[in-house]
Amino acid sequence: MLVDSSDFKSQQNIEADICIMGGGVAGIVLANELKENFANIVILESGGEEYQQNIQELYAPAKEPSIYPSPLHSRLRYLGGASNHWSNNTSPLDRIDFEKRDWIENSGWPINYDEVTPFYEKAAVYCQTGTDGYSADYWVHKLALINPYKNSRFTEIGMAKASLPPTRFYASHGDKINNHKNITIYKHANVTDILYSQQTKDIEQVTFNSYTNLEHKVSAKQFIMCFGGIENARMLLHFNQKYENKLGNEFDNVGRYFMDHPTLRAANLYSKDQSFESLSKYEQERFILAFFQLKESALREHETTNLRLPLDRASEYVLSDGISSFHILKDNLSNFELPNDFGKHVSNFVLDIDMVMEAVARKSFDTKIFDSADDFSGYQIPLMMEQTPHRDNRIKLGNAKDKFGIAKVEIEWELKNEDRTRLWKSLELFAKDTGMLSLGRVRLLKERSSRMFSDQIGFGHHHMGTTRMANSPEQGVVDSDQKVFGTNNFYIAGCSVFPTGGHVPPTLTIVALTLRLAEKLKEEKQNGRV
Amino acid sequence: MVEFNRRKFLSVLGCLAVTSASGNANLLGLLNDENLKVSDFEQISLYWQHNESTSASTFLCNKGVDATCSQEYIEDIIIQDFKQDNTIIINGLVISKTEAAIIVSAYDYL
Repeated sequence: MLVDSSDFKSQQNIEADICIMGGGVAGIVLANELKENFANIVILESGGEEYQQNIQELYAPAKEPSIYPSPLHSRLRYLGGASNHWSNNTSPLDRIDFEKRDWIENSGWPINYDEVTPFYEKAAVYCQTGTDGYSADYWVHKLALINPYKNSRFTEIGMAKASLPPTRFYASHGDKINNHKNITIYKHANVTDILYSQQTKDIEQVTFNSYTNLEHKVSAKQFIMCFGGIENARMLLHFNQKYENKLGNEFDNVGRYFMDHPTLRAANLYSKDQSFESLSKYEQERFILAFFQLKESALREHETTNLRLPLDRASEYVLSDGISSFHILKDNLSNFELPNDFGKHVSNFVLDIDMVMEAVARKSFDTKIFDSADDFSGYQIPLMMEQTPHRDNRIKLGNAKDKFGIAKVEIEWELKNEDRTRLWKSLELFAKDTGMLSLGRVRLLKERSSRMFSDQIGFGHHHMGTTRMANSPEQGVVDSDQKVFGTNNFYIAGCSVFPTGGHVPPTLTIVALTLRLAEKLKEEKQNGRV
Repeated sequence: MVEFNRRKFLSVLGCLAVTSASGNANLLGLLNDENLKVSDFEQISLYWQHNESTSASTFLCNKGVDATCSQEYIEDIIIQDFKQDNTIIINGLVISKTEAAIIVSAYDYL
């Protein structure tokens, strides 16, 4: 049943077995999985069934982050959450992603790969990407893909799948929960407060506002927070202000270790080999994409992090160094500064003057000068990289407050030097394989670092790590069952619990972990703990 | 619309110069490559001066590379370089040392 809480004329006191806060991917999956086991499940969703600007603005940060994009644009605050605008690009994490890697600070999950993989197949059903798995061997054979790195030292193929059109979780799965007798979805129900007993360590009640100045209460046996990677941390910090950091924050871990997947055009592959283009195929309303990544053995031997390396066909114009140098010179000279490698940039600019002219013609006059500028010249590598979890990268509460009096977030994020170093190291391994197999040559675009790591950096908008899973409250916020340390009945779902994020989009793993959480909650009920 | 490909022109011009200077047509395949920028040549030469104890020509000689070698033979040596991590990074371009030595010899000769 779907209830619009803004229709309430008086304060409501709602009783439930399970209270799910947030109606995005994790919230929808969890409710659907629990509906046959619990008689009374409540979902509280701040938004409605469609985008509403006034509600979306609740995501506005206290101040615009300097490099990192505002969550105001990357999240969607209504049923289905960010799945309403994602591309549904899914891949599982690798075995090594769960391990403690001595060369990566703060790495290591309290659970291993084998504890998550049983849930990936069903997760793929939710994502509508099929039950035929992500094995590179299987897909290379099935789709007759050519793997140019088959005999390489360091490089292998990884697989991603996306349903077409992308799965919108509420549109695709909403009926299963809307029409179920055991589930009530309250839309326009913005959670504002929590009632925690320091004696029993139970969450007893959640308060929500229905945008009408009325506040309503939900009492439940179990509470699961599924607000998303930034909002989970924000709300947990907010709740903790009242309870002296007893909710998973005794060691100041909430909001810290914030990670994303930076996306960069950090290298070009110069090759005339067009077999690279046969690496993606459309199949049965799905897009199957093969990308390159480093083998586990290479990651261990060279103590580096993995990269997701898809290739984009590129023209002379796109690969022009002159245009890039032109921008670097322009930016620096306008600040009365000389860039590093000034001579090299001038040389690139002069020797590539035709492409610079082409850029000016295209941008300023919407016309072309040289047809050959569009000739195939190689590939750009729009890579996605793993980011090391670092304590200083964090979500914290700012001074400004939203309309419900909840502090807005401030985001502190940077790509640390160790990640930059590992990026170049990993790309060098890929470049060596490319040369060894006579596939072409790779140029690492280090000379563009100043812009690449600032205004040109992109993001997967995968907000991870802010309520990380750990073996103890000293190291994290939730335990291996995703239960908040210091509580008996308060769980968090979503990629905020990821201790590390791998190099692939997180949604498949979010769903897999949510399925695992659902099994834990069912077990608790069976064992009489609920 | 003007149909003009400056790179191909530069590349052909450069290769002609190198070929006539070195008398080795078999090296054409390596240098007639759009991934090389003019600034790479100088950087590779500088790298060799500052980092290698033997001259580029001695290096090539030790590898058995001379004007009579076939393209396939040279390519095989380059592949071995990549396999054995005998690579250098110049202006971000990852190339084998043999490639670098060939470029240095040609550049120095010019």
